[in-house]
This record gives sequence, C-alpha cells and structure tokens, in this order.
Amino acid sequence: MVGINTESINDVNGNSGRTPEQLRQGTAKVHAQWLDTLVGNDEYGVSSIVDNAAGDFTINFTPTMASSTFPWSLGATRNINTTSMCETDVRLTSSSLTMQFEFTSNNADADPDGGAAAIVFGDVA
Amino acid sequence: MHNIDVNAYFKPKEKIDFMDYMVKRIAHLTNGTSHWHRIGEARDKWQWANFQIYNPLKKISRSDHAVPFEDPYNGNAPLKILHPSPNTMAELRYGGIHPPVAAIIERRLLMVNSDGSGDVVEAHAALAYRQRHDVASEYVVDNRRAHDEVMGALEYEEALEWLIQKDVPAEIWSVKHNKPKMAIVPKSAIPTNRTHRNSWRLKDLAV
Repeated sequence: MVGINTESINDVNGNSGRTPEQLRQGTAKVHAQWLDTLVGNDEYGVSSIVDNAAGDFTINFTPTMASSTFPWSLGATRNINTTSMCETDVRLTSSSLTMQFEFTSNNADADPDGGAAAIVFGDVA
Repeated sequence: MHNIDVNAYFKPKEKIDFMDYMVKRIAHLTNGTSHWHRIGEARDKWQWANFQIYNPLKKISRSDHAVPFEDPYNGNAPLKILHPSPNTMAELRYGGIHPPVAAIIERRLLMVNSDGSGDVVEAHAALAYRQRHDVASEYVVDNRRAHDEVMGALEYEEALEWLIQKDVPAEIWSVKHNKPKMAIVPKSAIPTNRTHRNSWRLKDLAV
C-alpha cells in the first residue's frame, strides 16, 4: 500500500492541526441514501438494504462496527419542504441499523415512503 | 457510551484471546490492512471494475436480483426484501477486498443484557440470542479473520450467495424448511407500487 505518513495536517498558517486519528474519528463509516429504488443512489460501506415492511428498513454494513453503541443520524431526502420524517424506532447491532419511520406530508402527491438517508460514525471492529 | 469491562465476561471455555485480537486489530488499522481500509480502497477499485467488468456494452448489471425472505421468528410479519448493494456486488466481483463469508458470520460478539449478564456468541447466532434475551448492547470481541483473510474475485452467483449468507439470517438458509422461506427473484418481480406493501407474499413474488 502506498500512503503518506504524517503526524499532523495544518492550514497554510500552520494552525488548526488535525492528526490522522482525528480525521479517522470524523470519517463516516457508513452512509446510505435512497429515493425511488432502495439501493444504487448513493451508499458507502453498505452491503445491502432490507425492506422489512412499510416504513421499516434495515441497513446492513460491510464493515463491522466495534460495538452497537455507535452514533447515527437519519434524515428525509425527498420533498424536503413538504415531507418530514419521524423516526419511531431505531435498533442497532454491530453490523446493522434498523429504522422504523413515518413520513408526514402536507402534499398529497408526496411518496409516502419517500427517500431517506442514514449516516454512521464510530469505531470499526 | 457504556463503560463495560469486556474481560469480566470471558469464560475459560470460550478460549478467546481478547488481547491478541486487540493487538492485531490495532496493527491492521495502523498498517492500513484492515477490512475497513480495504473497503476504502475499493472505491477506486470498483469504479475500475465497473468499467472493466460491468461495461454497459456487455449489458451486465451489477445487481439484477432481489432476495425476498420471511421472518424466521414471526410467520405473520411482512415479507422482507433484501436488495444487494451494487457497489458491494462490484467489489465482490473485483476480488481482493472482502474476506470469506465464514470470517464474517463466525466473528465473536459479546452480548450484554439489560440485567448485566452476558454471553459470547458467533454472529450467525446473534439473532436467535436477541430473541431470548433483552440485549442492551453488543461488542465485537474477535474479528481477526475479517482482517487476515481476503477473498479472490467471485462470479455473479457466488457474490449473491456471499451476500445472502452475510445478511439473511442463518435460520433461513442453513436449515431445510417444509415450505420455501426465501427466493432469489429478478428485481422486476418486486412491485413498484407500495400501497399494499405489508400484504406481499413470497409465493406471489417468486417466479
């Protein structure tokens, strides 16, 4: 493997140094976004998405997280002005994130399942 | 974040050298040879593979199939549909990135229950464990094989099989049932209208 070895990365004035460890900690380990089709829009570190039921999806990770206590964030990506997503349940394992959510909309044409996005940080196993 | 003394849960019969795992994990992370680093490098590789293997002129899609399967513990639950990631399928077809599926499903997890008790189980048995216990959190305590072992390139069918074994519960594919619990269907067989999503049945999708 070819790489650049360094202890710190600074701005042009030599301030705001970042160590490789800080960069690694701030790197998303998994992200997924989908609109009409469940996968294929944009994902990283995702091996598959399981459509469990209406408004109930599981994202299976390709890397294994070190524990089930990783930080996560979810969001709605379709009709952002008219649709909001309300998570009702999120279940975490070291290798997956399952979310049950409801969309609320004041637009009758909005897709009830809409689009969603998830991002996961934390340590990998 | 819970403050768990992982070592306190290890029993002699489990024979896990947790310190050896941690030392090797840190070495892999430092050397850039962990499974996570290989996946990071795969971004470049699968774009190349996408051009070489999945050339549109050859009309080979990266992921043509979906896998409907039933809930192994609740026969009344709606049918589940697994959609393979086209990126992961490309990575598997390229090779040199992911470990054999046994290395993933046989990794050891420490399951810590809400009453403070805990057990070490292999990943393929974790779903069954969660049915019987109120698991508060789980920790990976041995993932050495995922970093040490690397697989070569797979055919499309082999890649799909790898994904099924990784992401579909072992209770579905490792046991013979008296009626089908899983099928591999073209993506076109999955309805696009989700109005009656929870009434989908396996026999209606399997062709």
